[in-house]
Amino acid sequence: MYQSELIEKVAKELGISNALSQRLLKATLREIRDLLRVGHAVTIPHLGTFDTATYKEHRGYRPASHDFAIFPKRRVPVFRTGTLLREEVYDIESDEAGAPT
Amino acid sequence: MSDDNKIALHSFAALVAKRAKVSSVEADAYIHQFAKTISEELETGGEIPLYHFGRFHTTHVDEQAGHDPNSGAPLTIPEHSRVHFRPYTALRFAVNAPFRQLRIRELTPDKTGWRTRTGAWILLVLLVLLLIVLGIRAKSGISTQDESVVLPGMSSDKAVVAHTEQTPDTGAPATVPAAPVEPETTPTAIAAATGVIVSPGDTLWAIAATRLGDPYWWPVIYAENRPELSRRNPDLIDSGITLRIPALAGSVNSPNVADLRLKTNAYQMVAEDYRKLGNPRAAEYEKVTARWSKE
Repeated sequence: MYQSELIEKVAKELGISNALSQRLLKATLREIRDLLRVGHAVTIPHLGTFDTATYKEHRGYRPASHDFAIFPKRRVPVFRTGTLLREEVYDIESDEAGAPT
Repeated sequence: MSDDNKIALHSFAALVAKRAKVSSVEADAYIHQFAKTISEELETGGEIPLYHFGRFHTTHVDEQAGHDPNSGAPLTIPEHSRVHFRPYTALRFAVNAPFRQLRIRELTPDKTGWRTRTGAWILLVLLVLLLIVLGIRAKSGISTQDESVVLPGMSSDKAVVAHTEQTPDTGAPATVPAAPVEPETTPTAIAAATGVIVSPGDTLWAIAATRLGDPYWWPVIYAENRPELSRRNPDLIDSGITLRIPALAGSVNSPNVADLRLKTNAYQMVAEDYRKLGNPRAAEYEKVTARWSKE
């Protein structure tokens, strides 16, 4: 699903214009980005949590030059899937009831 | 995982509403519908790329052996799908902003790094150029001194004569006697023979030092040119005027009686002018004049 399709689908569901839907999508994504930038975590219901993780300075392998180097401290965005979404997606291939989640 | 940095949904919705310039109810409804649409798409195994943000997608996990964490009993985990979010570079850069200046360090420091650094080469080239320029300047200084001894287009015996004329006057390098050797070359040479054109920054002291060979003889130049100097101030001479250099019977290192009288009179004149201007240096010059008059 492309971003344009997502925008159109959400607009149809909510009964708003595509332009407004696009504006709201952009606002949501940029707000998440800006909150992550200052170190906050954002939880979207039914979807999951956007959070940041800080990696300490560590030794790592560089496959391009086949050697090890000291990688600097860095902060990365992480996404933790929400329980509802995880359980819905869990058994999309096998519809066996009672599959432990 | 701490709760202190979490944003409540209602405040997040308010922020989104402010950014999109809509009501916070609309923003809240939008966020819920957004999440619902994404999860529906992921349930069908699709993927959602969001520009400059990230990509949601699912991966297949094969059946694998595990164990019950409570009882330790072996357990078979069935094959299933799980959700992934892959942040794009723009989001990674934004989140990593506080540590952006940090770089990967080598475990074994590379000591040949300066070779690839252009700044080091530029510095080296500049240094070499500076040395070359300094060498050229030093060499040209030597060659001009040579030219004063042997002028081009001049017979060698005449050059020797010029040189011998200069030898007794050791205290004056490139001075008045050098100029009359070839007075018909250029107008500047003629001017140099009779006098000197004052350029900005020149002083009587400096002119006396270069033309006469002894800076302490500057009152002589002043006294010679005093009728032309309208200021009557020994400390102020105008640039552009031509000063006559008085011809001494002897030289500054071995002066005649006439030269000494000239010098004494010049000092007397300077002392008088200083006195007229109210300059306190007048006393010093009068003292010197009185001492020389007694001798």
